[in-house]
Amino acid sequence: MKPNIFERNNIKVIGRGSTPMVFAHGFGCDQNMWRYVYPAFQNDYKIVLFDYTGSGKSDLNAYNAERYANLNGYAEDVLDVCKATDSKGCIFVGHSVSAIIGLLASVKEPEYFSKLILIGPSPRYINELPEYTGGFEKKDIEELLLTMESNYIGWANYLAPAIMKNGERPELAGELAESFCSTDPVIARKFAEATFLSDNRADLKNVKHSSLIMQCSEDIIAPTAVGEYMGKHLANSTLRIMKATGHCPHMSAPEETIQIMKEYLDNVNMN
Amino acid sequence: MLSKTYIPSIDVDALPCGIVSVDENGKINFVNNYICHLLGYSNEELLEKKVELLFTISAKIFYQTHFYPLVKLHNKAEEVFFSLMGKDGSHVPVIGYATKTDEYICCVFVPVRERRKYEQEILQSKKTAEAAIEKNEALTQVKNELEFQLAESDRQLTMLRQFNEEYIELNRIISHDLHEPVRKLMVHIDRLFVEENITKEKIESSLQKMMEFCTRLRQLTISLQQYVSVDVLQEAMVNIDLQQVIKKCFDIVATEDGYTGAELRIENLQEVEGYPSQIERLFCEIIGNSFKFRNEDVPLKINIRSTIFSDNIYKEIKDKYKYIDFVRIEITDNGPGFPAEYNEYIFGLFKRVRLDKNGLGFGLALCKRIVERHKGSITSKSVNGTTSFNIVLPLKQTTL
Repeated sequence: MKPNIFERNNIKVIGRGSTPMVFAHGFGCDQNMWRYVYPAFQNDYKIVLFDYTGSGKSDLNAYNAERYANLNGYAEDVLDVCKATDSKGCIFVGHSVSAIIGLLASVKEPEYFSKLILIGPSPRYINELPEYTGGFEKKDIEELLLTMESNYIGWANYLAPAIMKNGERPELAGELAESFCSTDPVIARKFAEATFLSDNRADLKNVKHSSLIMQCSEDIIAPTAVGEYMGKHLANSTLRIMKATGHCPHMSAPEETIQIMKEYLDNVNMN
Repeated sequence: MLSKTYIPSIDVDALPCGIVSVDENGKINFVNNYICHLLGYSNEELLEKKVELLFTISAKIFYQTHFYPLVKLHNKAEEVFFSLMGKDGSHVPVIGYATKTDEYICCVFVPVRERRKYEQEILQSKKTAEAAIEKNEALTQVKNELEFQLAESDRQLTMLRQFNEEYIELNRIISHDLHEPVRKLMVHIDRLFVEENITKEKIESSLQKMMEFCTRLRQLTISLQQYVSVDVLQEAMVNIDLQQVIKKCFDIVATEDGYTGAELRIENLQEVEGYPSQIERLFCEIIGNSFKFRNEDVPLKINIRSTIFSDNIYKEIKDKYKYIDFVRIEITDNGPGFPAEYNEYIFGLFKRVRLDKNGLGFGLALCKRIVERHKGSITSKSVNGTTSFNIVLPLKQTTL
């Protein structure tokens, strides 16, 4: 039986426009993170919001450790969502790791995309000095995994070694959604690994679509050098350095985010 | 009458926890003495600095990916574990709480050094327990692999059955197609032997016909041999430079066809692993097709480009995933194309769409067979005067 993608990925379709605009959340969060941004586009676009399988209010039972150990597994989620919502030629808006996931999906099935808006993208988080500065060492990422692990022992009777499916304990899912957006420690860890240990530099040259790279100032997760690297290696890309600092401009500086997105879309549409 | 309760004015600097307030730009706008003391900074060293200064590198990532979104979306965070970093580089495990107002985020950090030790113990035993389960998982995995092997065998059986059907079909058609020119050859030979006072014109005409039949026979046998050899040919798998092969095929086809007006454009072609003679044959057929069915009114243009993407190698079995690199080669020409309903049909053995053109209906069936032998797929699409073939091949056969 075909999975119901609307349920699996908690898809929401809103807006009065016909051109689809698909918003993909980053690691550690869910579609809620877009709530300061998408309303600015809902008059002109068909807004598609979703949670990756394993995040937010998605169907955790549909999670497959093999599939989601690889960002391509997430890229298939994006394509599934595009197909389920009939969103050919969409404007894809991806934050952080989702920027890369979107790129992978656009290479795989180009007809589902027209433009790619990439917020704080990084093709590789780990340094490979001297050629490449991603910002982190492998040990930093291992520590991050530990930090995440420590944050999950607080809740639930997670001391039980078995990897529990939330299907058996539905009360957990609801309760946890209120704390972290990524609810399952095993899934969150896998997502972190897929995100921070991937190397997608070689994929950049395969991207054909027009893209906007939104680079925050002082972003420790995707430093400016990484944004510049993206700009250099993505054909057809526009790099915009934002006044906003940190890694989440769509939450900390939604106005600037919206303005830059609109400028880019107006510009591309004119040419 | 109630006595007036004494309410002490509490000095935040005397509180037994670290207090940090952060503005919308992520800058510290207040710290109390406790946190300064805990981390070894003076008040001035922290004010107006980015809050990340307080964190270890991993905590910085965690702050941006989890803590900040959480506080921003829910206006608060509770019981979040962090590692703070002292001025001297030491790590201080803390539990953090935060509330958010319109202007700032107020965080409270409580050191949990002792508690952390217990937790680490617990985590450790959990890991040990999980390791045991993983062993069990390895067993489950073996079971799954076995199931896969079964399914794989099933798939191969299906393929075998298809091959058998093809051979029967092949046999039937060949026994006619091969037989027919031979019979006609014999008619003419007979005529040459038997007919008396045969004119020079008649001899020439017969020889002409005989030549045609021989050519057809030759074409048939060569095609046949190539079709069959896809499965039996013992050839080494090598890295193939697609650019080179495609240029070569284009030249071969152009020479054979005699048409000189064709233009070939290729971009981004990679190396791909495969059986060289088969890959060459594949592109000769595809390019040959463009030549054969070209639009006579405009110069033939063939565009070939490729893209690498990752895909799951498992096509039949649900819930099995292994992503490897594939190359998608798109061949587009400006020929008249064919009706969309023939998209599948054209890959069938001895299936012909254009009966007005010479051909065996053999080439694309051969292409399909070659591509499938390389564990790839071939599809075609014909829209508004543009015909395109999409060939998808694994970049490396050996990773399968």
